[in-house]
Amino acid sequence: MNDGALAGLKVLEYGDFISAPYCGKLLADLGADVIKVEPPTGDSARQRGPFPKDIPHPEKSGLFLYLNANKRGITLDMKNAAGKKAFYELAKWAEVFIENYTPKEAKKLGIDYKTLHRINPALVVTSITYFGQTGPYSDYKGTDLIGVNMSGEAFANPAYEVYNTDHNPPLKLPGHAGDFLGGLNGAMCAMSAVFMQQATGIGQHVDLSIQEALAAMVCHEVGDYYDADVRYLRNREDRWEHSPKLACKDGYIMMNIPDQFWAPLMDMLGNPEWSKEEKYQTAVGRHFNLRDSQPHVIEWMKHHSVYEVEKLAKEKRLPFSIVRTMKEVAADKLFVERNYYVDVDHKIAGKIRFPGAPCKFSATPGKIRHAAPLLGEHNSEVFEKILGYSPEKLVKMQQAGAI
Amino acid sequence: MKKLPLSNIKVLDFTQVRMGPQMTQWLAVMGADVLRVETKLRPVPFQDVGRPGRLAEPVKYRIGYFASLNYSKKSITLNMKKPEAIELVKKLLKHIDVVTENFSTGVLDRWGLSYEEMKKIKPDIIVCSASGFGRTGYMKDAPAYAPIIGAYSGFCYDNGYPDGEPAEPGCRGWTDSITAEQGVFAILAALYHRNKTGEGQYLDLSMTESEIALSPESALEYFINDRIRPRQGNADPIIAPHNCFRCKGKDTWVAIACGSDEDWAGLCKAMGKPKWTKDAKFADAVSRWENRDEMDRLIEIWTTQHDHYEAMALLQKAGVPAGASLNIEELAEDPHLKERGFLVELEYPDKSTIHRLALPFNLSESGRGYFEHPPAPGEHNNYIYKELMGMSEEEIKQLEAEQVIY
Repeated sequence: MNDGALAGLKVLEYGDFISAPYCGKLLADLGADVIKVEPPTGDSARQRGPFPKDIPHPEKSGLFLYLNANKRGITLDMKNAAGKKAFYELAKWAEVFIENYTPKEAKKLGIDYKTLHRINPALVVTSITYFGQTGPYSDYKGTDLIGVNMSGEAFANPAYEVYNTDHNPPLKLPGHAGDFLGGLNGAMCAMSAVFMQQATGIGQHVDLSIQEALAAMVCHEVGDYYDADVRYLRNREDRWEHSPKLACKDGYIMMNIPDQFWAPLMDMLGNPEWSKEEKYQTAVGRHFNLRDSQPHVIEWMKHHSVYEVEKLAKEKRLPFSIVRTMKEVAADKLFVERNYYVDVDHKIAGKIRFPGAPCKFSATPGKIRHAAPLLGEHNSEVFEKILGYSPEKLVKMQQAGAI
Repeated sequence: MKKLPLSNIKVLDFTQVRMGPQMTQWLAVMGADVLRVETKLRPVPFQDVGRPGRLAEPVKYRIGYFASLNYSKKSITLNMKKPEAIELVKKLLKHIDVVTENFSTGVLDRWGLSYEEMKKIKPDIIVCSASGFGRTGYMKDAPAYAPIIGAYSGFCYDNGYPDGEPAEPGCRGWTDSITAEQGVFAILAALYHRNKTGEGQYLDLSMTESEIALSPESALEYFINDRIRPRQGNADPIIAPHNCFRCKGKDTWVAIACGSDEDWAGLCKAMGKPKWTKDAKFADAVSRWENRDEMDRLIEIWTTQHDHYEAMALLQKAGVPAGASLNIEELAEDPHLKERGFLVELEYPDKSTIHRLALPFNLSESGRGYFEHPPAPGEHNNYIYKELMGMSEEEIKQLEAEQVIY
């Protein structure tokens, strides 16, 4: 029976909103046993939509349900002594711990590496924060918006669309791309530490900074600065590349045309007179005269619909896509053929469709075993089966507000 | 010596361009021996390229984009057009844990190196095959580049100013990088499974599916409410202020996000306007969101009086989530990142050096990982063919003369 590549890996998550929960999700979807600890008020993602028919409900947040399927959920009040004690017992059970509080907050909560390492020296403690555990910004407050700005990511965004730097501010990426990326990087680094744990029995602290995770994406731009003192500016006019986005009669297309596609592109355009000029007959000539050829291509596109261009581009095997909305993406049979989406049946929210895992495992395919937990859904299961608490003790803890 | 997580793992790396090399760079920094398969017949695309035309003289070592993606790896040369090279790969496979590739669909099969064939030689092999649209389905043969994937997955439609056009993300590497990282995670999970059970597997990694999974908000909106999510720009659907504000210098900006009344009170205090917390227009989260345009204009009066670093420091001191919008130069010189060891110096054998960003990898026992200069083509031929595989010098010379090791 396939239980997933990470079956048997014991993970404890005390993380809020997106970054740490996404890290936990990546592990849970591959079979890890992830216990998610929420404060009695619940994870803040429960307050964020999308909600069915826009009616807020803590058990119906699409974002929360996406991030927390396959996990077991318990509630614990870390300010309560009995709650904290139970948490430390779970920290002894776990092989991996995930959190996303600033170093100062983590210490205050008593979930810092030093404390947990003393309790369980083999534990891999994964801290996903905006600015990491050390350095002058480490206790700065962050959000996705702050992270993408402090990594050069927003300053570089969007490509080709900044006509006036005074009017167009640096731009955040869609959604919470920085937070998700932090979770992904956290999961990779945690898994590497699990390898050392397997081999040597020692645990360690994974210090993941979302600022760095985002900055690593602009490595080429930073390399150009270090090597050649190139300073990238935001203005469309200062870009040396050409926008691969083109406007058609009824929408936009993206067309990346490296030189090897020149001949089929001209074929598609009907081999116009201008393309026969001497300067376009060699790769070098085309490279240096790209700015001259581009207006002709732009003009041609304006007279065609996106579907006309799509049909021709396919015939010529050109790298091409319509700039699609989610409606078009959702209707694409590719994702059905590849069995990409997952359908989850949740006790309160009902049936919901989610994007699936980005990688298909031939021997241990990832899967959704169960929907995201209701607030405190697995309290008795976890406390009784893992920690061996009696039902009477649980009632007492509940009365004391510990769970 | 530092202990590295993947120090006993060997990766045979056929990847090209950006996404694949970025994936295997992670494995190299985590300590794996990553053996890049290259050939003198065809230089690596982008090998010396930075900004075109900026290299005054030919460089002795490969710098540019190649260096950004290939430090810490090893390079062997092999001319895969020769059947003897394929035989050599088959012999080498016995020593290999992971094979990575991002060719067009079917290239490895044509070489007789499909997953099934490799599995016969090394039963627990892990093969990661990365592509734009996946190795199955009707798009498997379509050419893929990052901007195409961005458009195809719906990400570009979401990116841009609310009153503007859909836009390609400004950072050239976004789609490639996130796919690379999903691939690293998948490989590590597959290795974990192999270590426990002895079973290898084939990993079919898709750029399109990586992009949708990492920015699921629009998909969730569509699936739950049958609605296309409008482009948001810097705004947040419920939080305000949540924007990028002009500062004193030319094209300098500070980002501010106040998710709570506490954050807002801190901002008002820092701006010298403590009374705004009592102003009915801004007193609670809903009012702030409804009156955000007016509020943003008022905030900008304060931010334009300050340098962007200064605004960040003043606001953070007051407990407000705020960050200077760093340009590439500021990022490359950022004191915080420097202090954290995120900027590294790589030394070539002739003692010349270059600087690069490290990876966001930072473990208490393993530090920032393993760093070595980007390899010259074939720099590790001896290490692999002679030391690892035990071939004789004559044998190697013979294969070089026949342009197999080439």
